[in-house]
Amino acid sequence: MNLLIALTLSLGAATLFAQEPKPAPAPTPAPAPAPAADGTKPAAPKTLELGQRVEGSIELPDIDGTLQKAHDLLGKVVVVNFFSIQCPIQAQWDGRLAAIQKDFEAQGVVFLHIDSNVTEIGEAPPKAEGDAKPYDNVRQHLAARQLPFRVLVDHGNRVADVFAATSTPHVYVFGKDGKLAYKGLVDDDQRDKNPKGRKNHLRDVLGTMLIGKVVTPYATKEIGCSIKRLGAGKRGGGKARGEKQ
Amino acid sequence: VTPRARTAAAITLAAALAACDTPTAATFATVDVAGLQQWLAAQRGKPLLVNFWATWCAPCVAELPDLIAGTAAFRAGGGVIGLVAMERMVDGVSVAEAEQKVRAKAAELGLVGAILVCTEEDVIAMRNTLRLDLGALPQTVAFDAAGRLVGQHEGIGDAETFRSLAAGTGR
Repeated sequence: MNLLIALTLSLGAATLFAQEPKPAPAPTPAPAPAPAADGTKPAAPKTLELGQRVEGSIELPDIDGTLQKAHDLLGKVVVVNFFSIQCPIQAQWDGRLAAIQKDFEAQGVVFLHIDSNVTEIGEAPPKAEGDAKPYDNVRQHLAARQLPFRVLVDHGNRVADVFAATSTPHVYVFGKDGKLAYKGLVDDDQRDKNPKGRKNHLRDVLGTMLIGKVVTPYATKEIGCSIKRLGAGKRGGGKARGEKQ
Repeated sequence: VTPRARTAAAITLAAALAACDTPTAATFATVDVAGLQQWLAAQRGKPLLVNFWATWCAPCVAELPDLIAGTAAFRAGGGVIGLVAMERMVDGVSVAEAEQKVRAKAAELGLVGAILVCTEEDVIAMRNTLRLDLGALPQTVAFDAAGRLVGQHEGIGDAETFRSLAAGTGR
């Protein structure tokens, strides 16, 4: 499969997780969004807020080139984590995240880990070269740490922008109704020093959802490594408030 | 941190505070969260930019030269920059190792301002104590002379980012 055509992101056409499945169109050749001729990024799509569904039809390939379509997640509880293979803070949560995944996948929850870091996946999908598998760095990392994560690749960080994701890790939980119920930390125990006293945000939200109770949408402030967005560092990046223009 | 180390840190911190009036010099101090609070309080009366970074954080290191360049006029006008190194967020880094890494990187990059090696390991605890909405590294916060938070930038910035944050302090 030609991985160059694997990434398709069309905004405004459908509603993520909340619409009846439609016949999937054939993957459309769509390279990672390129900066405009004047060096600016394309207009940012509307970002996701708590209690909302993702606007638009989002599809991302995983590192094997298999496309994950948003419509296929209809009616499922979905956890999305923005992931890094280089961030040591992500690594501090990897084990607990894997344990939560193991516990809840068995109950039908879908876990997706999105790598949006241009420093890890490159600016565009790699060209196929013989029998070599792409994203070898990601594969080696997952194997070395025995992480059962399905990693999707977000070239051009368009999905990270839609989610307004800033950090790795940064988790998002969608209920069966497709609405964003929680975003932020896995738990509030970064260094795994207080297993009995910590607030297990992700595990608690999933547990509440799976017994059929309503989760009042809430967020916690994430911490970790900033997502290395395309072009960041050349003209700045990240999220600001209070800067004089 | 032993009492003796605390005393040494306090002495170093005092030296750092005294040297803050020299905008082209780098001063070093090792602080815990209480020491960082003390340092922040001592800057009242001066506009202040505080950057949270670490040597293991590639975008943090990448933006520091821009931070120095973008704040030249701010510092010349009496503004203060504090570079808080969060080395111990990652596992297995001793205070001594943290200090060594930060000093080496500061020399390599030609950093100036108050360079504060933070001994705290847990950023969530730290932000609760400081009442700062700290998230992903790198992160820069701006305070006006009255000590009010007037700006914040999360993620990598460029020289214009820091000029803009500095301008927001009223300096």
